[in-house]
Amino acid sequence: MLIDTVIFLPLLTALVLLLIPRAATSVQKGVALAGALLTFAFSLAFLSLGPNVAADQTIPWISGPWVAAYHVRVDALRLFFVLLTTLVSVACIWAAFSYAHAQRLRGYLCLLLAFETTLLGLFTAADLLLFYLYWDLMLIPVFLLLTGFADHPGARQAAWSYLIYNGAGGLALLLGIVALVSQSHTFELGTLALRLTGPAEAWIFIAFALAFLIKTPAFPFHSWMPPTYTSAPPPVVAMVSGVQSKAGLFAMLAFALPLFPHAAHAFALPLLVLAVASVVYGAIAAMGEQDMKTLVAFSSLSHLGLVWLAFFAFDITSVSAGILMLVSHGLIAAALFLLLGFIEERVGTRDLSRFGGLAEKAPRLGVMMLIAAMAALGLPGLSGFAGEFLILIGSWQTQPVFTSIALVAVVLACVYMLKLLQGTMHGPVRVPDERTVSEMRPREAWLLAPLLAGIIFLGVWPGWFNDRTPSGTGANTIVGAVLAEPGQR
Amino acid sequence: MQPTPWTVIAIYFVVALVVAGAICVIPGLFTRKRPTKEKLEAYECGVPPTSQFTGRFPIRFYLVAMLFVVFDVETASFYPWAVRLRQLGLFGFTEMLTFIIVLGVGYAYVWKKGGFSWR
Amino acid sequence: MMSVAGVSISWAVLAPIVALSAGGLLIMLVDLVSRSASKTVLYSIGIVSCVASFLALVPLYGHTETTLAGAFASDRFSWAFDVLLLLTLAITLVLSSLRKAEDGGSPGSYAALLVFCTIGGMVMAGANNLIIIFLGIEQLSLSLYVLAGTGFPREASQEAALKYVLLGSLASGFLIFGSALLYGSAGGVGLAALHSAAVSGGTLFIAGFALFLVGLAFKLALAPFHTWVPDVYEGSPLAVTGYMAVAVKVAAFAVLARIAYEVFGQDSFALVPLWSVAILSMLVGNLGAIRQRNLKRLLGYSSIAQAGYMVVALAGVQQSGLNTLLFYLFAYALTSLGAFGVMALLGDGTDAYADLDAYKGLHFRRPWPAAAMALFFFSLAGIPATAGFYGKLLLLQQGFLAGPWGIALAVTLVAGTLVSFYVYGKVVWDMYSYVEGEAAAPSGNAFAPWVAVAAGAVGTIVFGILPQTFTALHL
Repeated sequence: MLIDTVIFLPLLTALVLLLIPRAATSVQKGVALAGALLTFAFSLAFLSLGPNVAADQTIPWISGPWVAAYHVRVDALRLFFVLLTTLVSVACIWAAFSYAHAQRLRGYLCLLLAFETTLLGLFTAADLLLFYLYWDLMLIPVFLLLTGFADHPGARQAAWSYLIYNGAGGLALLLGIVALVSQSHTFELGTLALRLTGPAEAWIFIAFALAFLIKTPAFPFHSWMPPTYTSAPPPVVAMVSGVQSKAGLFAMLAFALPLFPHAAHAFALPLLVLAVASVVYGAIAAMGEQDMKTLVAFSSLSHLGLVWLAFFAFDITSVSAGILMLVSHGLIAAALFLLLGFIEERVGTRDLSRFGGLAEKAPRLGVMMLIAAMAALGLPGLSGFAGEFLILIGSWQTQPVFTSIALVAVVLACVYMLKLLQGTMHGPVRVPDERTVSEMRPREAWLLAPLLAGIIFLGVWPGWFNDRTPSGTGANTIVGAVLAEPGQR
Repeated sequence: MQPTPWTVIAIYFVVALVVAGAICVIPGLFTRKRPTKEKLEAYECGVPPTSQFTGRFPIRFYLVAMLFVVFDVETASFYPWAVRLRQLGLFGFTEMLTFIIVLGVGYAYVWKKGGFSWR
Repeated sequence: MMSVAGVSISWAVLAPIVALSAGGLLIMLVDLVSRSASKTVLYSIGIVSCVASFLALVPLYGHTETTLAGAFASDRFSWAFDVLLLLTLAITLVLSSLRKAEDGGSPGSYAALLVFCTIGGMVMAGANNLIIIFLGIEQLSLSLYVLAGTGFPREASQEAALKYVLLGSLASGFLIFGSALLYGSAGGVGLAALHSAAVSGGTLFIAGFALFLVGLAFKLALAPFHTWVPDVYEGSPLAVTGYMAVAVKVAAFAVLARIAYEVFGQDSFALVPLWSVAILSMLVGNLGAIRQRNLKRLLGYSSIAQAGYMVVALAGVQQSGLNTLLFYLFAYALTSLGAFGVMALLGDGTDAYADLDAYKGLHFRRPWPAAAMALFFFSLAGIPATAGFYGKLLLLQQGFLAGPWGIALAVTLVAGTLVSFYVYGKVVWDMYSYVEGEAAAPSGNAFAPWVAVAAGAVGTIVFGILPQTFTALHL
């Protein structure tokens, strides 16, 4: 029941919003924020679950020609993705209050809330059909948010590349799922312990991996990402990069690796190549970028490439550090994109060469930007460091060559993140069109505070996280199952 | 191989195709072509078309012909029925009555809607 | 049950068709006798005869029987197809209530033709021999040729009728010639006789079946026999186009399925052309839809692609395929009729909302119709939680169970679906993108189309989220 409440509360809030007249924007804001906060509060209850206890609920759904159940589950792996979603959503919905068109605010909030439901559904689904349902439904709110609510001239192209790329990935996944289910006749993961072998397993794994690589995204399937991240409104891009980009890697861990252990080991090499290519390409592209949102978009590509490396190094330390890195990156990316939104609102441009020195005018903005950027470049004491460091230690054990290449790119992160920080905050004050730059409003500061608090907390005390993740809870978990499988390395 | 009736039909097909094809192709090989503007126009007898064709056109002849075909062909099916009336019995009688009623409704409909009037 | 000259006749099996025929005749008579009979009365008679026909169907449920010396069958599948045809007829009649005097044609002949058309479809659904199949197809087609022209004050409607009748007659020619060759090869017109001919194969059988398939593919609008679709869909009156998109597909698929299962009964080399035209249809339909700026044409191309998808249900001629076909046909019918309902609702029965430009910013003028249209497009595109998605899932499974051709069909289905994301997404984009200033477009407020929209929306969502409910209907 608790899981259902958490999943559907945002959707319910969205439906309630539809009943409120368009003009009553303050009521809409109150209801939307209350819904998001309440969802977050409910999701905190999952923290009380013990390390080996999962909240699990199964309702029979379809019995023929295949078996599927409404099976939702919150376990050690899913817990942190659920918390990440509910936390980031609160910040994003709060940030959406500054949306300019009062007439359209209601639709905007509704779509963000609906998006939250699809994300929560995705992270809790333990049935393959249910999982796919949310996987594809995710496209709709983002597509509509890009069509109706992005004022950026590139939004049209961005929306199409988002829809077509992710649609293609989704359909590849669908082919894989149907190919799998036409043999097993069930969508239930528990009974999907069908050990496929030979070409069937390989092809189905490729279909799954393709979908996940596109969604994350990883090089060379990332070309939808820069336009989407650049032209989407800040709350939308914060949710897409902060939460949705974790869907692929989460699903790799929760579905693809347990289902296709042989294929996963057999295809580790090409996937590692793509992972390291993402790390290096993202870093180099970010260094040369003048558009601040595109810069962070490429940094995101680089950081998530590192998680691909972590997972396919098949080392217990690196896999669990990869989960930490995902959560940490979710917080950092959401915070960064929201901050960039505040900056763009103040200076009216995203071009780093046209403005600078904002810290002098808005010191609080400067401090928050400093924390987020430092976390992204991996400063010890912030969450980014814990994730990166543990990944590199772990993957060094099994993949020293790939790890050392990735290490170079991690160093490059300092270059582009410092460029971002210096370009926006430091140096002489430069603001185009004689705009007056105001200090952060209390709302803006408050909505960012929990994200930054999370970044610092995970950085200072990663052990708290590790104790609760699957690696810390023994071999009966997913990570354990993956690693126990005899590899073909 | 013993020729079956189908072989004969196949031969007939081939001969028909060859003859018809030859008649179409051979003149083209031996004639000289001197196209002029008039020759290249779509062939139509009478004066050149003056306006685009739109609107409804009189279809009286077609209409009468079609109605004749419909009712005439239906009537043709009365003959075998009349010959076997006794064997078919009451069932045959009611069946044909239904048929005539259905046909009659159609007839009345066409009549009432002015299908037979020469306007 | 009675027997005449050795041929037994089961009136119960024929009752649904007889009831509907009586309704059609009654419409004509009322139209004749009373000059003042309003269209409401005439359409109501049509709907009542639908209900009467359905009541006659009810006792036939779960009943397998052939009558007229095996020429006409009543079984689970003809039953389900009949229900779907009657549903389509009823919804079309409701939608047609928006027709106005200046649309042309008398309401009496219009309603009667719709009823006769449906009778043709029901005859096809139960047809168990080539002659009855041909009779049904001709009854359906001849009525539709005229219906396509019932908007004759508009030139496009005349064009549609003429194109349809010319190309349709050609297809009928193929059909009848194919039937003749099949008769020659099998020595009988019953599907059972054809089964033995199919087992032994033979050039004559293959040639006859190929010609027959061409004729049927024309009726189904499978590429490359689809060229009539865009113009006919665009020119026909709105309600007729909706009816055409659904009823013809339902009836023709009934015939195709019966032939696949009764004549072949298993995957056969002779069916390879069918798989090929299906693959071509999925590509042609979806790619052709990209450039359309008229919604009726777009849905026409979409129906070509959907027909291609539905063939996947028959891939490998597996027993589960019939359930898949039924589910997909129901999903497609509800979705399609719903979409045409929205168009009729917005344009007040006219083609005002056939132009895609009219949909710009629709959400901000008419949020509910916009939401319904988006739902129907999502279903046509196969987005999860709609009936269209679950139908596609079932289709893909049929493909994967059916060997190399099945997998090729499944992969093409997925590729076509990706293209269709763009096609339908484009309209959704238009509807939800903000347009400055209030456009003073005519907005209908009639109640009747809501029936179609509501039926479509409820069906699409319920069958999409709880597909088990469809199974529970035991159609």
